Amino acid sequence: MQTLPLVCSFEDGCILTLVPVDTGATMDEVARNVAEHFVGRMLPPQPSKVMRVRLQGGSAFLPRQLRVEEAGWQPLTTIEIAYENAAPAANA
Amino acid sequence: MATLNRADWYDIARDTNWTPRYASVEEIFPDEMSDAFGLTVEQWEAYDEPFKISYREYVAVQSKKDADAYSVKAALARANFFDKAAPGWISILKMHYGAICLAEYIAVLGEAKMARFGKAPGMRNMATFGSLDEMRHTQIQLYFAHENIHKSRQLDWGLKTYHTQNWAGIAGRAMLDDVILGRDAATMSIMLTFALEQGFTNLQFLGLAADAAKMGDYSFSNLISSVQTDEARHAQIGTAALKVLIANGKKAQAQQAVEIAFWRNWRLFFSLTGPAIDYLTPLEHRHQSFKEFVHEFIVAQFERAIEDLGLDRPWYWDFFLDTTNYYQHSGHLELWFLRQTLWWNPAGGVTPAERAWLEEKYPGWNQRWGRLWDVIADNVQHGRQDKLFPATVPMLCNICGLSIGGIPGQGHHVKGHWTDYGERRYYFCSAPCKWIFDIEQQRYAGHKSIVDRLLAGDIQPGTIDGTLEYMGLFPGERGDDADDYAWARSALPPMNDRSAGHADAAAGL
Repeated sequence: MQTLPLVCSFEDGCILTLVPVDTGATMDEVARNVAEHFVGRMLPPQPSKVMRVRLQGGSAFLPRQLRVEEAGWQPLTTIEIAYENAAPAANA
Repeated sequence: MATLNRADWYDIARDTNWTPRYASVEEIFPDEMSDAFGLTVEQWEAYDEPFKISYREYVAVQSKKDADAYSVKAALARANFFDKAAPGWISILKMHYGAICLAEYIAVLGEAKMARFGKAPGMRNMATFGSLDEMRHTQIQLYFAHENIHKSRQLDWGLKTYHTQNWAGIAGRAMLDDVILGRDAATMSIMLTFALEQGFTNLQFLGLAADAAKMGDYSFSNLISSVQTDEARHAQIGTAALKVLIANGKKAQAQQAVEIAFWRNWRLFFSLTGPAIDYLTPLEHRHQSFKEFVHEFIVAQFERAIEDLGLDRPWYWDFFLDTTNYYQHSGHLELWFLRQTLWWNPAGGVTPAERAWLEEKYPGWNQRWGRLWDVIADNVQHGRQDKLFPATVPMLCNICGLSIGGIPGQGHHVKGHWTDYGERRYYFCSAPCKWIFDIEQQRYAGHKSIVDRLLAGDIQPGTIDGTLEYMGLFPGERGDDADDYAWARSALPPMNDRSAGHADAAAGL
C-alpha cells in the first residue's frame, strides 16, 4: 500500500487542501480522511449526512467501497467530498 | 552667468544614442536583455518620457525627502508608538517590511537593467533615477524596520524573507523573477512599472500613507509618502514604452505582457493588502473596504490607463472583478490558519463589531465566512488547540504560489486548475494562472512550491517543526494570533440576527 497525495475540496468549504490517502483506502475512508481537515476546524459537523467522493466537476459519486488503487488516480488528482443528496456545485 | 531652461537642453543632453564603432547595435542591445519585441533603436527614439528631471534637480529633491523622513522618525522616536499601537497595525508594519524591503532591491536591479539595456534614451534616463529611487527605498525601509527589531524578531524579516524558503517568500520571488529579473528591459517596463507600480503599488502606498497618518503613525506615513512620490515618477516609464510598442504594431504582444503582469500582481496584492484593510486595520480607523479601495483606485485608474493607450481590458476582467468579493476573505482565513508560517501575527478581526462592518461592506459575509469563524471561535472557547492549526498543507499554485480559495457555503465554489507537463502535474489557483503557465510552459516548469518540496522529500524531517525550520521560521518569529484570541471570546448573537436583512443581497454576491 502506498500513499497518494490528492487535492481536495469539501462541500461548503473555501480552500483546496492537500490530503495524502492510502491507496488501499475505500472512498468512504477517503471522505472521512479529508473531512478531518475541514469538519470541526472551519466547518460544522453534519453527522446525519453521508459523505461521498467524486472527481472535481463530476456529476456522479464514486462507489463507496471502491479503493483508491482501483480508481486510476495520479498524484494531485482533484476530488470533492460532498454530502449525498446535496445540490450540484456552483462553478467558479 | 545665465543658464538655459531645462526644456532647452534636456532632450539633447539625454539623447545618448551614439553611433557605435567597436560593437554592433545587436551586441550592445541583445534582444533577450533589451527588447523582446524586436524594435530598432530608431523606432525607440520616439519614446517620450512624461516626467523630465535633471540629475541636479533629482538630488536636491531626494535629499529633502530623506531629510524629512528621517527627521520625523527621529522626532517621534521617543513617542514609543510601536509599544502603544494596536496589534493589528503592528502586524501590518511587519507584513509590509518583510514583503517589500528586498522587493525594492530587486527593483533596483530591474531599473538598472532598463537604464543599461533600454533602447530608448528617455527610458535609460528615467530608469537611472528609478534605480537610485529603489536603492533609497530598500535602505530607508530596512532602516525603519530595524528600529524596533529589539522589540520583535519578526521585524528581521525585512531582511530575511527573500533569502528563505518561506512559502510566501517563494511566491514573492517567483513573481519578481518573472516580471523583473527574467525579462528584457522593454517587457519589464510594462510589467514592473506599468502593471505593478502604476497599477498597484503607487496607489497602495497612497492609501497606506493616509491610513498610517490616521493611526497616528506619522513616522511610517512620512516614510511611505517619501517612497510613493518617487514611484509616481518612475512608474511612468512603462506608459511611454507602451505608446512606442503600439505605434509600431506590437499591440497584441504588449497586451499579453500587461495581462500576465496585472494578474500576477493582483494575486500578491490581494493576499497582503486585502486582509490588512478588511481585518487588521483597527475598526475605528477603517474608512473603506478593500473591495471599495480596489474599485475606486485600482480598477478605475487601470481602466482609464489602458483605454488611453488603446489597449483592451484583460480577457479575465469580469472574473477579476468578481474575485474582489471573496479573495481577501478566503485568503485571510487561510493566513490565519497558517499563522505559524508567517513573520507577522494575523488578527482574527472578527469581533461582533467587526463582523457587523464586514456584513455591511460585504452583504452575506456572516452567512458565508462568519459561519466558519464561528467554528473556529468555538474551538478557541473550548480549548481545542489542535483544531486551531491545519493538520496538512493547503494546495499552492505553481504560478502565484498562493493557496486556492473560493466562497464558502456554495457547495464546491473553489476549483483547481492544472496542466500536465513533462513528468509532473502543475497546479493553479485559477484560469488566469493556468493561462500564464500555458503561454510559455518551459519558462515556468520546474517551479517547486512548499507542497511540491514536501512531496519530493526535500524537507526533512517533514514534520511541522521541520517544515517551519526549513522555511526559516524559528521560535520568536513564528506568527500567532495578534490579539491572543480575544476576538473569539466575544459573545456573538445568534446567526439569524447577524445576517437578518442580508439574505437577498447575499444571493447576489
